[in-house]
Amino acid sequence: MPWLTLIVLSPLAGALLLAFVPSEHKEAHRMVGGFFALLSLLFFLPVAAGFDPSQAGMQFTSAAENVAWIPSLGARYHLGIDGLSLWLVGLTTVLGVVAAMAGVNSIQTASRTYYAGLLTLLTAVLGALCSLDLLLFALFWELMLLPLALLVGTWGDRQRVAAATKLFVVTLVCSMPMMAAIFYLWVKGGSTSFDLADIAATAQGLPVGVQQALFLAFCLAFFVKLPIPPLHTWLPEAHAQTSTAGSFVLGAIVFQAGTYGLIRFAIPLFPDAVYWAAPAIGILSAFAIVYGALIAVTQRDMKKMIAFSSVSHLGFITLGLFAINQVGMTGALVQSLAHSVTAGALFLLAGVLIDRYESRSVDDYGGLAAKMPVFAVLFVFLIMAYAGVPGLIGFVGEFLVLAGAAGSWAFSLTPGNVHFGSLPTGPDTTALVIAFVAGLRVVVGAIYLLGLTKRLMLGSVTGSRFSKTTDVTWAEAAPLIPLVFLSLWVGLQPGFFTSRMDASVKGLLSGLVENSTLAKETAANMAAQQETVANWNRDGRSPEAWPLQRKQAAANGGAAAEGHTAQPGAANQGGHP
Amino acid sequence: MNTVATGLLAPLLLLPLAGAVLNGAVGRFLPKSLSAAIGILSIGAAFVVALLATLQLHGLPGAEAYGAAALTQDLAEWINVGPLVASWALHFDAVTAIMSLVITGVGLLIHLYSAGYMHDDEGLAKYFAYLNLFVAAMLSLVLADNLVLLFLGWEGVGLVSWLLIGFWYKDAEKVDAANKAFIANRVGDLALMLGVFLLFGLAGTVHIGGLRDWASHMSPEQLTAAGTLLTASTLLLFIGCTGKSAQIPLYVWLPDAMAGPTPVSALIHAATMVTAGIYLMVRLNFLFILTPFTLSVVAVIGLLTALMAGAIGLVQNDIKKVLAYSTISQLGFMFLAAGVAAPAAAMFHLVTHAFFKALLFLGSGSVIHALSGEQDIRRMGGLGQVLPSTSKTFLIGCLAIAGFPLTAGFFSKDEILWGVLNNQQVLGSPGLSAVLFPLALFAAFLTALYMFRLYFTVFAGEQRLTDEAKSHLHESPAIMTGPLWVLAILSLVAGFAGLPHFTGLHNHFHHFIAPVIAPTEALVRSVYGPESGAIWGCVGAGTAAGLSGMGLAFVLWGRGGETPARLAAAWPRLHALVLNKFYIDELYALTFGKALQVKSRVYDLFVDNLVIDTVAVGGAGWLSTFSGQLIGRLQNGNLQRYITIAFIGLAFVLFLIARGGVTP
Repeated sequence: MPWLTLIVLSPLAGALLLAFVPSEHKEAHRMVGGFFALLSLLFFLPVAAGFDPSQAGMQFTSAAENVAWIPSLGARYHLGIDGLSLWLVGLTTVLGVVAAMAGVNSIQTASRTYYAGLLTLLTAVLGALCSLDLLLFALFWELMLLPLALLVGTWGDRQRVAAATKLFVVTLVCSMPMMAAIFYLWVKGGSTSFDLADIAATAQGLPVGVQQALFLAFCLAFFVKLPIPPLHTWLPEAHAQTSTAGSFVLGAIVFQAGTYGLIRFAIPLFPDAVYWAAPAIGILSAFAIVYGALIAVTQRDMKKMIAFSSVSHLGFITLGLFAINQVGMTGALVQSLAHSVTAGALFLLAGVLIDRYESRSVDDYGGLAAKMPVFAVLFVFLIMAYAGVPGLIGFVGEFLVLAGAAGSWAFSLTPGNVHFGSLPTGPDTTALVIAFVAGLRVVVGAIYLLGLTKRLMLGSVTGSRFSKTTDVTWAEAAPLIPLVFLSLWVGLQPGFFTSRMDASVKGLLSGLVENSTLAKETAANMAAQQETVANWNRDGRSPEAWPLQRKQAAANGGAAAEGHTAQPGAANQGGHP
Repeated sequence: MNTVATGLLAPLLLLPLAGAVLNGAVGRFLPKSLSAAIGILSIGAAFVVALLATLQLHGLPGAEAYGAAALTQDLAEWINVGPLVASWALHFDAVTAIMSLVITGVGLLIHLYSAGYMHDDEGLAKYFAYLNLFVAAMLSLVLADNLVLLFLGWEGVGLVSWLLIGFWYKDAEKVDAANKAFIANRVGDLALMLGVFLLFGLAGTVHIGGLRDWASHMSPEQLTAAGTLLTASTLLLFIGCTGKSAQIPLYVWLPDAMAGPTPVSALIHAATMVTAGIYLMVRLNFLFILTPFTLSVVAVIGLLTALMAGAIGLVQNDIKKVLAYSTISQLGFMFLAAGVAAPAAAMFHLVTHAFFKALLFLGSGSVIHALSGEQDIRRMGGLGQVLPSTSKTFLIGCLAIAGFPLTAGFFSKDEILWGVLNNQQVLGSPGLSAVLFPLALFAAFLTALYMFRLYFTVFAGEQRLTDEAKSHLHESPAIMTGPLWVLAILSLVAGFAGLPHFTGLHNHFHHFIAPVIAPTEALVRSVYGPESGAIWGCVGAGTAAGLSGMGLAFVLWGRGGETPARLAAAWPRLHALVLNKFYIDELYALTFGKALQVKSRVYDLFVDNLVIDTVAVGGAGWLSTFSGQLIGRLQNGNLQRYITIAFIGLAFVLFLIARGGVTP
């Protein structure tokens, strides 16, 4: 069965069907929207079940899904899935269902537009996540924009159209250089194929300078989607202006395409450029993380706060990806899932209040926990998942990314520095500083997230406007339940997910080393270093060389210790026998 | 390493968790007594399991050898990405045994007490759910066989602490206290996390056993090469400890944390959670001894904290705040011990402190309960006759903490003092000890002084109660006084588990945990000979410090009189300084708090709105509009102009080709 095609196209089929449903049948729109989103999720299940974790390459590449599309250009309809995209696809299908549920409560007018837009967007995102042909990818990539602008601009506050326009123009303009780069690669390769493997062969053979330029063109498109500062300013306004469901789609689904673009295209295509840019991107990511978090601290508009917090949270994705090691990259993928689940949940939670009381200002709320106990439990649980409390989804991504970053040698400003975990000198200083700065989010994030919890939920109930408040309804809570479930599942059993990423991430990394001159040098350097360590270990295994025993010997006889300073910082204790 | 797989550890962890889930899910539909019973029984069962596990551990052969006997249980895979492997795997050795017994044992008593204390609270089921969840988190902290799982427990207890400090969440002040605790803890957590990353980068593992192997098999060259980073990593771990265990500079959250219900203060903010830092120091003692610089820092910070908190505790008027500062001060003592490479003493004091400090907190809770919520000791006094059980047990607690001969605190505190005197060389600068020892004695003196100030002010002299407090004055029910008496007995006799070596008697405690702290012991023994007669002097000095503190407290507060007030009036500035806690809170608010707000505003309004959005993005938009208009103006339908421009362009292209710049 062409499962991937079914996953990708079934939402679009629903969107087409909606065209025949009269616009006043709200229930029918919901049914169709929900059904086709669910269909896509159901088609994902056999893919998840049949996925072979030991395989690094593309899977589910049936012949039916590798056919000529525009023969004159050499473009093909070619789909495939591997460990890098598996969970991004899976989660997108789940989030599609959640977004359909969120629409029930949040979208009261023009529901046909919402569900048609949502389904089209799902096809675009899923298509981009599965394409193995760059022209096909570009098509899906640009297809995202229209429904997205529609979803943001149709419901919400007064400035929503301006926000949607900004979103549209900024992301469109920033993806133009990537389009040019794709065509450049196509021409360079003989104008015969857009296939990822062919394009990659062309790209990896290019001189370093050209690789760098093309890499930046790709990065621009993906960074603006995530977004990474300074390309982020379309995001807070769009979130503030649009409806709850629009925010959810924007905050939970769309950015995944950015993560995916980086790990599928920008990184493997241009290995030399990646190593060249990694320190700068590492520093930029750390900056983004702190920057977004700091701005979030003083926001009074709760959606803007979550939006800026997202900017911070998404910095972890680029940080992990460009750490260029297994821990960091896996962490970035998990972080992508985690952000979808938790930030999406936060937008929904905020939406429950905003849709009821029509105010985004945190100052208009207070003490709701007493009135809405179930809502308060959901709120605190998901806030903690977002804040990275261990055992929940947010921790896994954040922890892996920070561990990967701290041990990254790609961030090193001294080229040729050694690889993670194998060096006697230990981690690189630049990488540690980057990890520390990025880690500040752990603290700053707690400040604004607890502040938000306090202002909305805790303290005493202010005024009479909440006197009739009732607890969260089923319609409001339903979309949150899958997200709570995912928070726990990924938090407690991340191995289930990461084990299916491992082979592909390893394959990506070894491909980078094979195709990059710098990485090759480093690998040679690494081997030499490891030999040194091996020698040390061999010599060091004799008990006399153990620091403890040497200390002992020093105390007993005083003779054994001369010539060595076994204890770090031992210089100041030279006085004693 | 002699490890034996067992099935006992999972129930130890899961029983409290099950209680929490049960009470959390359906507790509000159950009668209060059933909720309380669920909470109490699940902890009681966990205590029995902990006892069984300890017995099994005790029976294992080879407990003497370096490498330690231990029970283990692997539950499931957790994080497994390349070199980073952290499983749901539990490890139970002597130190874990002691910690689990304290957590579940003291926890059980406090659960019992809570059933009485919280009886009238509408959120009783929620309270027991949180309390059980805390015990589960704390157990996962001490049972973890790797640092990531330990971190889970570490953050977990912080989270539950947040929930419980803000238990009465309708009071915004309590919520602020809870948030402050969480955030201060997170600062420490960040440092701890970075320390773990550094260790992982150095050793390639986060497994505690693996780290121990790595540390003990390191060649001198490796040690030299890793020196700076190893020191940095232990320092970071210690900063993590200062957060959780309320030491300088992160202690500021603990006094505020007294906003929570008093049994919570006893369990979390005195007996267990705040000792997590000590536990970590003992657990990783094999790393800390490799970094003498860090040890010196630990010792100095610990002592400074002990002195500072003792001084503040001397002038506070809220009964719980006095005890909070006392806890900070006693934790400082424990860090002092860990810093002078006396982990056994630190651990011993942890245990005895858990008994007498839990006793004192519960006692204060009993007083507050009796006085209908009054916490100001200036409105207490003369409660000795009215609250017989509370006052007697409180006195026992005070004696124990002051180190009155043969009470629990006497043995543990003297062991620390002896460590300070004896292990000076380990610190790397022998001169340091000459300063540390007298100051440590002074801290011991302060402890006795502030504790007996509290005792005399609350229980002796005349009653200064408000009318409201007088109206309901009563001794607490048996479910509350029972735990007090159990803890009082433990505070009296627990010290005999750790009789000093020099008496020639068997030190069970030391013997029991010896395998875990073997690396440190080996180092200390290698540097020093057998204990000498100096130890008698040390014991004498320690006892004298405690007794003189008590004596002075009796003179100043035991007989009424105006001396304390006159002293305060004589040095108003000094008094105000200490009374206001050295203005550290204000300093932090001014520096970090303000700076954060200002930075956030500047980034938001100036950088984000003005520079990026308006100037850059808006500018680009304006530029494209402008150029669009410009080009649009060119396309005005004037054929002549088109042709002119086309010719200029053609000429330019030809010119380029002629120069060879472009090959068509």
